Amino acid sequence: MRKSTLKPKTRMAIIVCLLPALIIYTYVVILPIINAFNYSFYNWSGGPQAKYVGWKNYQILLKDTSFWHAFSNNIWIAVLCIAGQIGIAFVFSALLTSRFVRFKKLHRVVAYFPATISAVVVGFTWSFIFNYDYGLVNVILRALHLGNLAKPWLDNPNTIISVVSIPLIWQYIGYYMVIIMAAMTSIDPSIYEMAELDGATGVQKAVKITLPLIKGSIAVAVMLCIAGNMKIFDHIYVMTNGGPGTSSMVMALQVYKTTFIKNQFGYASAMSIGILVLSLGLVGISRLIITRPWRKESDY
Amino acid sequence: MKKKLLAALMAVTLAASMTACGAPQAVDDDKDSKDTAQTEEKKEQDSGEASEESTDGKTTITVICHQSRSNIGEGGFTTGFFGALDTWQEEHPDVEVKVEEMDQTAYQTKINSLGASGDMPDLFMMKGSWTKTFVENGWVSDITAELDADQEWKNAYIKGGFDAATRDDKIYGVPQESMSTGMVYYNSDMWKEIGYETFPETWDELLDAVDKFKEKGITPFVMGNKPNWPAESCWLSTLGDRFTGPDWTQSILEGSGAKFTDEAFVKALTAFQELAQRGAFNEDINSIDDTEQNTVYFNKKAAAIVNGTWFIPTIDNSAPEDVKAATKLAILPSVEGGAENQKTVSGGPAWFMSLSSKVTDPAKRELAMDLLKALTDERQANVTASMGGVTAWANPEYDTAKVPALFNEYNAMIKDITAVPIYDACMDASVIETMNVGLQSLLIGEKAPEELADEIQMEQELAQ
Repeated sequence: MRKSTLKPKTRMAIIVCLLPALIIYTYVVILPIINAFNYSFYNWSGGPQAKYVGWKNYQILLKDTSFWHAFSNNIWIAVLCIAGQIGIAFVFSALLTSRFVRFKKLHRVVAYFPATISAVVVGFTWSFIFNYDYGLVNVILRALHLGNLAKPWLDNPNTIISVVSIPLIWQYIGYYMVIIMAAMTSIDPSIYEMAELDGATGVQKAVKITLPLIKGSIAVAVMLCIAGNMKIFDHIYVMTNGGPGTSSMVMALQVYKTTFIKNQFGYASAMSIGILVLSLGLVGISRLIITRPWRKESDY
Repeated sequence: MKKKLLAALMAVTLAASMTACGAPQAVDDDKDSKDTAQTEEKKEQDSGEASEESTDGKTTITVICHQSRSNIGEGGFTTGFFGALDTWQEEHPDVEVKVEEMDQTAYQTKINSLGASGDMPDLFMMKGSWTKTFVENGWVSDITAELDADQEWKNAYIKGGFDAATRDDKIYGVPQESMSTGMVYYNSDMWKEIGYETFPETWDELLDAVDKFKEKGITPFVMGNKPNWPAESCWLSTLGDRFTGPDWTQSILEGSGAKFTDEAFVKALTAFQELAQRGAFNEDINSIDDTEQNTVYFNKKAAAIVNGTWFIPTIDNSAPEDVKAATKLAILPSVEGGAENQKTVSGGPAWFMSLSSKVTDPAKRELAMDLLKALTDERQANVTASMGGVTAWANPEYDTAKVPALFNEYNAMIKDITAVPIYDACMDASVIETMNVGLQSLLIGEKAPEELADEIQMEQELAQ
């Protein structure tokens, strides 16, 4: 960290200004986490009696196949979303920063629009789109005389994770597009001009120039994407409720069901702490892979 | 400077944590319980006084329910419930009744968090399967004394009406609606077309009918199992009993020997899965819900639907005339090698009106109990029955000429049918959740009956 040259008075002002946010953050985030950690040592169904069980909840959690199944679903969704959201956002941004596309502002607004809609609305809309009898997908397929391809999309446990990822990808493309476009516009246009003089094609420019130059922003986007997908809940809750069976169950939904349907508040707290640890771990790993602190400056 | 900053930060955190941790008493140890009890008592007095004096000395009674005023005139119980509530409010202008309405799924979440945070409203609806948790957590009040003092009220309900809300001979809730959850509603015109004048009486005939419907490209039964309770509540509670008999269910409830891995229950699961694999259900069984399923039946895309008695007013209000006229009632067919009595249907009261344990002031308790009585006795029941709703009140008065035809048909046929427990009205909530989720997989062939039976049994052992 840079040794600060701020005057003590300015420093004081900064602290005072940060304090309200800090207090609120402590109250709504840090304390509940500490509380959850505390509850996770109890066998507690929400009432006044809670039995201290030590680390037992965590021992059960480690062996709970349904939880690890939910975790693997989260990972799958995260992988699909990183490829889908950031990949498509990169292509869109490359197109929108190029000279060949018109109505750029309109495209930008339209692409960002889904990100402003509530997740529940998105979930409902897409469950109508996937509906077997009247859904848009099947109606189009039948109109094209491809009726044999029409499926009950939300009923097949083998493909359900990919199907529920589609609305997620669709909704957040615009969000990552904004991040990536901001990075792209900061690239000096003269670099491209030189590449063009050397005869580089559009794809070459995108892969060999743009991508390395916005690596930092991509890293941030990947991190946001992983963190966001670890806590995904509303879309799945509305579209499938974790079904069929547990094939689209995700961790947050499982915590919800364990708490409010099974009334196992203590065990659900242990699960929440598990999610926290897993998410932090994954975000950390993704940071490490991208920044590669073990590589020396000279390797670049 | 840095140290000072850190110190300031820590002080703030500490202060915040102290104020925040003062509130929940959930995990207090026994040694603190005396203190807690005292502070709680004090708090209650405070809040009691505050709420009672707040609006011109009016007493406030808070009620939370999974009913919505927008359904008045459509659902039988909803109409009866709000009718009784409004009448009581008019008779007691000095009391302010605050009602919170929501749908059943949201209600389940809300009531549990209200309980856990110690904010339970004065009167609430309790599902039979929650009785154990609610009693153990001390959220619900024992109302045996009030009921015993008013024998006329207590004895006016159907036999066994209080069972699911009773624990150790203490009563914790008054039944509101009664229901049969596993009635077969079938479109008799469609069944005639495949050669069935009446609904099949044996399982083999049913399988044969399924094949015939499949040939014609019609879904035999529609089920909207996305919320995952219909398969268990409407089908398995009755189908299970066909194989196991009620003694097995009773033994499961008492924890006296019966297991979900018992042959009879596994047989029931197997039969259910075979029926599904034969093509008895719609392909999108796990992605449509219990409202969407009605539409499929109304559009004659499905020949039958297994649903609760709450469906009677729905048919009367929403079905097209021809479907309404053709719809008849039946029960699931008998099975071979099953229980002795094959004329059963899962039924009884699933929901109860209960009093919060936080109502300690005697005068307020008396008022709240009076309101509770109004919401459950004939003032509610007569209206509910006139709309075609089945009540837990044994003999509601209504005009048989004005109720839906199906309701009269139901009342005539139910006399010869024995009611058996609805699984989700009396079994432990975590067992039910495992069963419900597992049934989704079972019906699409993703899980073997034995495997599911093992899972449910494991959850049952954990719960005890």
